[in-house]
Amino acid sequence: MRLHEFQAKEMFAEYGITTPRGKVAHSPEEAGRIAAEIGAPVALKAQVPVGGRGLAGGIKFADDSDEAEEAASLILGESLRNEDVNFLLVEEKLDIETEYYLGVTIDYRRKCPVVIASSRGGMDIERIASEFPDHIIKEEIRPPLGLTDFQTRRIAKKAGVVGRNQRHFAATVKNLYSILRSVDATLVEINPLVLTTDNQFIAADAKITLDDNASFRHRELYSRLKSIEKRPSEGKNLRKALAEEAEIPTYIELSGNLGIISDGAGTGMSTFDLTKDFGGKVEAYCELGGKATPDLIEKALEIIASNQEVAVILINLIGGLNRMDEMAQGITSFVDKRKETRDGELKPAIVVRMSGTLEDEGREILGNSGVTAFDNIYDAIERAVDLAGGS
Amino acid sequence: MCILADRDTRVIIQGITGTVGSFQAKVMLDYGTNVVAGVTPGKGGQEIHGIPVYDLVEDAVRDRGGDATLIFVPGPFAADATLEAIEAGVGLAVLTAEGVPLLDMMTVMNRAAEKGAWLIGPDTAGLISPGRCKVGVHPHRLFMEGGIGVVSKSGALSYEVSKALTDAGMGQSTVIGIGGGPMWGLTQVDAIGMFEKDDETEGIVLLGEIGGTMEEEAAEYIEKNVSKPVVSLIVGRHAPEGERMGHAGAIIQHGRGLAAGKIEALRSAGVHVVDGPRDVPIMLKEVM
Repeated sequence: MRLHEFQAKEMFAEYGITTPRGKVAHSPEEAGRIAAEIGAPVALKAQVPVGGRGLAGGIKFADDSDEAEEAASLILGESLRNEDVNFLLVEEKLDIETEYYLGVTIDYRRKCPVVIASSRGGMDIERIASEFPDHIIKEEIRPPLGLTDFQTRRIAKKAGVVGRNQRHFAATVKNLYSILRSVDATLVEINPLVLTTDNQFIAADAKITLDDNASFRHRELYSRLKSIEKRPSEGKNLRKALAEEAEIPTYIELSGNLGIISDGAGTGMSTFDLTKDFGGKVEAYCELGGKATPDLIEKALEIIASNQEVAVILINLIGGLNRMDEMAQGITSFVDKRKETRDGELKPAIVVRMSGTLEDEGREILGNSGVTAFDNIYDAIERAVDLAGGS
Repeated sequence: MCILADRDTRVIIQGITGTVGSFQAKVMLDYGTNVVAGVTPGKGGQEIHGIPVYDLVEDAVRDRGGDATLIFVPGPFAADATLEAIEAGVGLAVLTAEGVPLLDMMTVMNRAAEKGAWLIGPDTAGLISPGRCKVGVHPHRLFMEGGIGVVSKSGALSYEVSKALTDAGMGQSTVIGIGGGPMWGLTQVDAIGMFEKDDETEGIVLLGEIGGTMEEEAAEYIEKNVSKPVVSLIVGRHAPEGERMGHAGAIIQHGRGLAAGKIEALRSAGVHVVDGPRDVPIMLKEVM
């Protein structure tokens, strides 16, 4: 889960990292009032958990409260990279001496956390890496020592921080790493970490991504973070929210008239590739993982079927852990209910491929509801593409 | 021979008293796997399908021996269960769980490396040496004993391709799922190295997917070290950027991790890359 900037900054403050003075605004008027309170030029920043906000027009500056109100009205209610902007962060604009990049993440290859720093802050780390590879500092955090003080000082030194400021920069490194360990984050990033003209380090931006695998250790934090989320009201965003609520591992919408459901990531991607190769256009892609239940596949079918664009749903099941008798129960439950409410008609059409654990039992259950299952994935894909209007 | 596990491999099942563990234990026994013990804390002394259950892995190893363990413990507890097996001296741990906290996984993987134990997973189907044993959850009807070694990130895709191989009369030496990432114990390179050394394996199938750089590393390794023919299928060719395609590691970010780059790297290393599961046996027959 990726935190909103203001949430990440609240966490920074708890861990002793200085952030700009500011508050969250839900309306232009509120933005104006906050700007007046601050009494200095402000930055207004859309609170959406996606990258590239600045380039997409999600960050504006204002010199006074009237300007702030006007700027806020331009950002609020807009959609930024498919995310609705429901609120803004209004905060003091900083006087910048130098912009650094500072982040802690996990190096999956080296199997350890790593600190990354650069004196070229303000642009994203991928761009720094490609344009200024010599300006990137990496320091691995290895057991049993963990992150030592001398490492944090070395990072500061190598990032080009001089004099007494090295100590403050080093302390920020330590604080970032504390956050990573305490809340099971996979990324804690400040970009830019601003050194102001009056010699203070302030986190101008804040990014924290949590490892959801560890959410069971942080229930209170998760419920606090999620309490601000509003359920999107309609269409694609509603379907995505429903899929998340049903704990469907992967639900993606694209553009076309075919829905794909698979019970494996690799077979799902393979089905997706071949469907496109065969001329099919994929509208929805859904992967159930290895712990699929009858209820889960039925929910996935309901969500995809509620999308008016979808004419055909192609289900590719090749179970190891997933039992085909259980998958068949979920599918027939959906099919039977659907037919009952639509005078025996099944729309969208369903094409099933079934193979694997207890497949004979699964086929029998499907047969009782008049659904036949293909054994070969290519036959199923050809049938689905054909039903969807061909290539 | 096959790699990593054979008829004689003494297998422990951790989490054997759960619904999945007990179901899969029966399937493995019926298949001929030498399942010697199960472990579930607090259920020591019971029996599941005639398999003795122990409270601790070390008790099971002491009484029954244990070369490999298949772990059906849920994500939040899986890292600890794996550490328990490694500390008890089990040399091969297969971790099926999804949702293992990454910081915990890091600790386990570093410890496994120190102790010289192989860790397969997490989020893996495990491995099967068809006709001999399986330490995994594979639908074994789709597999057949033979000379093709298969390594795959995705379990399900390894079933799909093995089915195509079996249908074409080409059996498999060992089929390994290494898991969905983004952090792996055993890697594609490790498995390919073992297949290269294995006498029974005549051809190698590498099933990869978008995200990360593991396939590129495999390409580099193959070019320098592998004499056997390698056929590869990389899935996610049409996957949209920025979307996680079912596996934690299967994501294209900032134009990196694309299938095209992996396919190109593999091709220039002499690997025969195909578009779909049914093309794998066709290509193998051509190049072997």
